[in-house]
Amino acid sequence: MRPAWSVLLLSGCAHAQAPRECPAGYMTDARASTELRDALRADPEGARLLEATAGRATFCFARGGPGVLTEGALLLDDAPADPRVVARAAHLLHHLARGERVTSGDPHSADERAASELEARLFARACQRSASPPAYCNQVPPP
Amino acid sequence: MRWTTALGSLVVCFASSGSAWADAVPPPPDNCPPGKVPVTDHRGPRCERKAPTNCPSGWRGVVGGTCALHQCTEDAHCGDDKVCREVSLCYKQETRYYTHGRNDHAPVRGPELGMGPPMQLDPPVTEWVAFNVCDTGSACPAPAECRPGKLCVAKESGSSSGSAAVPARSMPTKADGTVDTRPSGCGSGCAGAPAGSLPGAALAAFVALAFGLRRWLAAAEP
Ligand SMILES: [Zn+2]
Repeated sequence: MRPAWSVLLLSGCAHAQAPRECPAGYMTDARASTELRDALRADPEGARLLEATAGRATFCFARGGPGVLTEGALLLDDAPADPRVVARAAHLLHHLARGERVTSGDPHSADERAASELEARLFARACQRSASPPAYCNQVPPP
Repeated sequence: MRWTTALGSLVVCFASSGSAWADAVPPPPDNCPPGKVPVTDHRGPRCERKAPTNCPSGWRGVVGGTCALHQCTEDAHCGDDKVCREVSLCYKQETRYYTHGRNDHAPVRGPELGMGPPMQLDPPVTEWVAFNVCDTGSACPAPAECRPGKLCVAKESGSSSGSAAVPARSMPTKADGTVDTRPSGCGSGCAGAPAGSLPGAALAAFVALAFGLRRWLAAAEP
């Protein structure tokens, strides 16, 4: 296959995403979004991801939100200060920054491994920054 | 370029969208039949039964049509119409070898990194998981154990201070020891009613009969 065609076909899988409204059942909570952005900005990798996805990400919150990305909307649990949610948001922004509209779901694939390792680093640092780290922070070995 | 190669690339492209535990997923459907709501999560876009509103005290309705224990650590987790109360809960031991991340609002289940693809837990984590309320002997068959816990329970109507609360109730246990988390008392029209409700089953039987008759008539024709 010629390279030009390969690029064209792959870009069909991963073309740029426009921000979308939050789906039904999710809230676009300005305060929660600000809280989450601040938490991401406090982390060097989180800040870089926010910059790389500026204007393309919408944070949507619901209790027990699954932590998935759909067309630029990050469907998250409504606990924006929770280190797990901060780390998860970074994982999803990593996919968004790379233009990955649909991921493989294979934890052994290179892209997923990189995203999960990033999530673990963000989690550890968010726990370290927390003034009163939740109990589960102590149970995760640093990456 | 050979078309077979191009087609192969497209198949790879679309095949990846059907993954079992993806975390970048297509959006929820635009429309769903009555009683169902559009959702998208790690399992992709689909229509699911609405969260029931008639779960017993101590439980909350979840999308999919079932009730789940409404665990809490303080009143703030419970919303305006419920309060967080100490109750006796039925726990069973579960060993987890993988984690998909947190699936409960209350951060009481230990470290759960990665709400996306499964990540191996090394060493595996054994923990006590609450699955019912201990209010009758049959609600918590051995080897499960009753232990203290906290649930959001309904406020007694007319109680503004929240001091009076409706006691948490257990949900029925099935023969295999699991709990039937579908809300009861609303018949087949209920959000949590079994998919094979009587009208649906009767219609399916009628359609099958009609097709069978047509094939039989066609075969009987000279
Ligand atoms: Zn991922």
